Amino acid sequence: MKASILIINGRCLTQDQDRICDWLAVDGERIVAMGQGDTYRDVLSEWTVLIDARKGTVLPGFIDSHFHVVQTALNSQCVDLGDAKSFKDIGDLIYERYKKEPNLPIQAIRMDIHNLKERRFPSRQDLDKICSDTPIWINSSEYQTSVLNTCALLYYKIPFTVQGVLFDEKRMPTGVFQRQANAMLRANISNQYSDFYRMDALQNIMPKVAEAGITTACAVEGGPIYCDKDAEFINEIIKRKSVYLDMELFFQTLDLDRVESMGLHRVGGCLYVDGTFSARLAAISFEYADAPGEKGCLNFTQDRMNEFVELCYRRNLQLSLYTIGDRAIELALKAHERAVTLTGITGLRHRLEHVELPNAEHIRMASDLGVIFSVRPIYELRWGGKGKMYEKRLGENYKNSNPFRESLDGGVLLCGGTDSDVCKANILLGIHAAVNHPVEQHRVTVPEALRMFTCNGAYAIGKEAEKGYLKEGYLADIVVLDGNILETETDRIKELNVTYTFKSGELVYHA
Amino acid sequence: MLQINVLGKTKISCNGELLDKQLSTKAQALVYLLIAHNGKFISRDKIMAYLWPDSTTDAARYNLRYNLWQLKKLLPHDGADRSLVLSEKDGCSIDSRYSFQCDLLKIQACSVHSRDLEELAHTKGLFCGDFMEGWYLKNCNEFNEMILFERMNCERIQVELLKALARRYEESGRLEDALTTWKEMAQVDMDNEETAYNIVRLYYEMGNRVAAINHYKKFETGLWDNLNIAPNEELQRLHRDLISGSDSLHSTKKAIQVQTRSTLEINGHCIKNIDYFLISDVISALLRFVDKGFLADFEKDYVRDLSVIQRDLLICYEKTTGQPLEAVAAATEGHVPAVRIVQAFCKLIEYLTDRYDIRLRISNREHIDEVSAQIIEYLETSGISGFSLE
Repeated sequence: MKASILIINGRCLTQDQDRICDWLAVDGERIVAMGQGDTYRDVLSEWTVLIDARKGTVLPGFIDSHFHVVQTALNSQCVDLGDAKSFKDIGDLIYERYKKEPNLPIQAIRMDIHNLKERRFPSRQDLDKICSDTPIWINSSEYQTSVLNTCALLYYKIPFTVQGVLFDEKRMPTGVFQRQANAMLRANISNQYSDFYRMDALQNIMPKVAEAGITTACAVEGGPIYCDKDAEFINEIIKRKSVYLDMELFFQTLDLDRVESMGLHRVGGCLYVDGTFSARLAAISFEYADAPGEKGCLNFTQDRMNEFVELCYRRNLQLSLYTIGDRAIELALKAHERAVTLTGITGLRHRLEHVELPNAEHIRMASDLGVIFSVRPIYELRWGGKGKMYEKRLGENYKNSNPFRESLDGGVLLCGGTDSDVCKANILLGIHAAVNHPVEQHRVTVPEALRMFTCNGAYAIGKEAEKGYLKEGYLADIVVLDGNILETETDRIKELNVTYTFKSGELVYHA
Repeated sequence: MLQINVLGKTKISCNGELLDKQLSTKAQALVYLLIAHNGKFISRDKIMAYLWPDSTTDAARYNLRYNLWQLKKLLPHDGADRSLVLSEKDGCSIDSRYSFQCDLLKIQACSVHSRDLEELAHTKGLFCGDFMEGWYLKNCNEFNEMILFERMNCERIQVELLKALARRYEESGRLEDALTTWKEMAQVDMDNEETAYNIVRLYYEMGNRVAAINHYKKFETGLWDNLNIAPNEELQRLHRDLISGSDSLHSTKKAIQVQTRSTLEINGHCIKNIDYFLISDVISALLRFVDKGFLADFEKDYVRDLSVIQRDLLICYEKTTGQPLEAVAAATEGHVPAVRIVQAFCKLIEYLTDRYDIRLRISNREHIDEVSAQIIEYLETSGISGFSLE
C-alpha cells in the first residue's frame, strides 16, 4: 500500500489515548498508516506528496461544535461597526462601503450603543445624512434592534403595524425596529436572500474556515434572530457536498415534524431556554450585580420544557438546548431527568449549549444523564475575569462561570465551539482560552482542551468512529500547526498558526 | 375612463392602455402627490419643495409648468373638456368634478364601520401591495416622507379593514369567511396573538377541534422561532381548554360575544318642516345594520309607539318575531302622544347601545325638522354611553 500524502517529521497527537506518532500516511480520503521515526519508507512512492511538518503538531481536523455558518457567511459581506465609537465612525465606515459599491444596499452589523458616545441608536435622519439614496440596514451587536434609513424604509417590506416600531413625536417611524417588528423585518430581508447569494457568501468564508483548521462544524441555523431558510439551505449544501467543510445541521426550531421531514436526527442549537448575561436575560438564581431585583428570565416553563424534551426522547432525536444561567441549566436537566425516567431511553447524546453557570449538582446530574456540555471558552477571554462584563453582571459570581475543570472532573464530556459569528472562528484561540481560563481553578490542560475540539466534538455528533482521531481507517481530516503545542508556553498558544489543513485527504489550506 | 393605481406597482391607464411610459417620473409623482392629498389644494411652492427641492426657483417653476402641461396633454379629458389636474395660478389639486378611478381613493372612501359585506370584501381586494411600491425620489425628502406616511396609513387601514370584515362575517354567521379573513390578517402580522386566538376559536366553533389545536401548535412554534417567547396567557388557556375539552370554552365564547361590540355609523338626512323626519330616517338606517334577533327582544310597546313614525320597524318586527303585522299595527291606530314617541326612540337608542356604539352623522343639518332637533339635543345632553353625534 502506497500513500498519496505522507506527513513526516511531526508530533502527531492522535487523541487515541496517549499515542503519539512521528508520521502518518493518507491514501484517498482516509488515513492508512502511522508510525515512528522513518518507518514510512514502505508507503512512500514516486507519486506520494511529502509534507514536512517541521516538528509541528499534527492533529485531527478541528470540530467546531457551535458555528452559525450562514450568519457568519452573510456577515462577511457586511460593514463591521464593532469598533465604531460615535455616529461619525458609523458614517465613515458606511460611506466607505457606499463609495466602493454605490448601487448596492448596505448592511452593517455589531453596532453597540454602549460603545457610542451618543449612547443611543441613530435615527433614520442620522443615517440619511450619511447616505440617502441607498438602503442602509444596521444591526445591533446582539441582533435585537435594527435601524434603517428612509431609503431602506421604502425599499424593504416594513411591518409598521406590529409591536416594536418606534415612532417620533410626529408619529413617523424613527427607523428603529425592535421586538416583533425587528423579527419580521429580519425575516422579510433574510427571506429575500437567494440561495445563490447565500452560496456566494458561504464560498467566500471557506478559505478563512480552512485557515482556522476547521474540518467539521455544527451548523446552528434557523429560529429566532436567524432565518429558517438558512437551515434549509445548509441541509441542501450538506446533501450536495457543495463545500469542503463537513457540516452537521442543528436546526433551531421546536417543530419536530419539520426536523424529521428534513431527514435530521437532531434538533436545537440555540434553542433559547434563557438569554445572555450581557442583556441580563440569562436566568440566574441570584440578582444581577448591576441590576438589583433582576434575575433574568426563562423562556420555557418547566412543564413546557418537560413536554418538549420528552417528545425528543420518544422520537429519538438528539436535543441541544441553549442554557446560560444556572436556573436555565437546572430547568433543562430536570426535564432530561424526567424524560429518562419516563421513557428509559438513553444514549442520544443530548447537549446543553454554552452552559456557563452550572453548579456542582448540575455537573453531577449531567454526568449521570450523559448530557454533554458544549462550551465556548473564548467567552472567558472576552468577558471573563476581573473588571470585565461577567464581573459587572454577576459580581463575585463571575468566578463560577465556565467551570471546565470541575465539569471534566465530574465526568461530563465537554466539546468546544467558537460561536462564530459572535466570536471569531478561531479554534486555537478557543484552546488557548480553555487552558488560560481567568479563574485558575477552572483551567484545563492542553490535551484536554485539544480533545474538546477534536474527539469530544466527534462524539457529541456521533461521528467518533470516523473522525476526531488520527487513526488508521479514519477520515484524513488533519491539521498541522507551526509549533509543538505541548511545549508551547500556555499563554502563547494563541500565537500558534495552522500551516496545513486537509479535509478527507484533500489539501484545503496551506500557509 | 382614467384608472390610477397607487397600491403595489403604480399604474396610470385609460381603457386598458398604459400611459405611464409617456409621462416623466416627476409628472407621475405629481399625480400621486395630488391623489395622496385627496383633492386638497397644494400651493405651487409646496409642490416645488416636494419634487424639485434642489432646483432654483425658476428651474423648479419651469419644471412644474412643463409637467402640468404634459399631464394636461397626455391624460384624457372628460366630456366637459376637464382634465384630471386642476391647475390654478397659486396651486393645483385633483379636479373633483373629473371622473376617474383610483384604488387609494376607494379605500379611503370605504368605512371600516360599513355594514356592506360586499363593499368591505371588494375594498380588501384593492390592497395588492405597498403604497407606491418601489418609489424613492433621490433628494426629495418631503416626497419620500409622504410615501412613508401613506404606506403606514394604508397598512393601518388594511389591518382595521380585515378585522372589521372578519367580525362582520362572523356576525352574519359566515364563519368560514371569517376564518379566511383572520388567516389573511395573520399574513400581515404573523405573530399577532389576537389573530391567532380568533383563528383557534373559530376552528373550534366550527367543530374542528383538531385544526384548532394544530393551529395553536403552529403558532406557538412560529412565535418561538421568531420571537423566542411563549403565547400569552389567554391563548394558552384557550389551548388548555381545547385539549381538556373544558366547558369553559363556551363561557369564553360568550365572553367574546359580549366583548365584540360593533360600531354603527349612521347617516341621517333632514327635510325641513316634516316632523320626525330625521328620527324616522335614523330608525330606518339602524334597521339595516342591527342584529334583527337582538331587536326582537326590544319592548313591544316601544315598537308600537315608534311605528307611528317608521313603519319599517313594524315590518321588521313582524318578520323577526312571527307576530302578525295587523295585531301590532292595530295598536298603533289613533294618536300617540309625541312624548311617547320621543321616549320610545330614546329607549331604542339606550337598548341598542348595550351592544353597539352608535355614531350618528347628520347630513344637511340646516334642514332639520324642529321635533327631531329637540330629540337630538335631548340625546346629546342625556349622555347615553355608546351614542355619539359627529
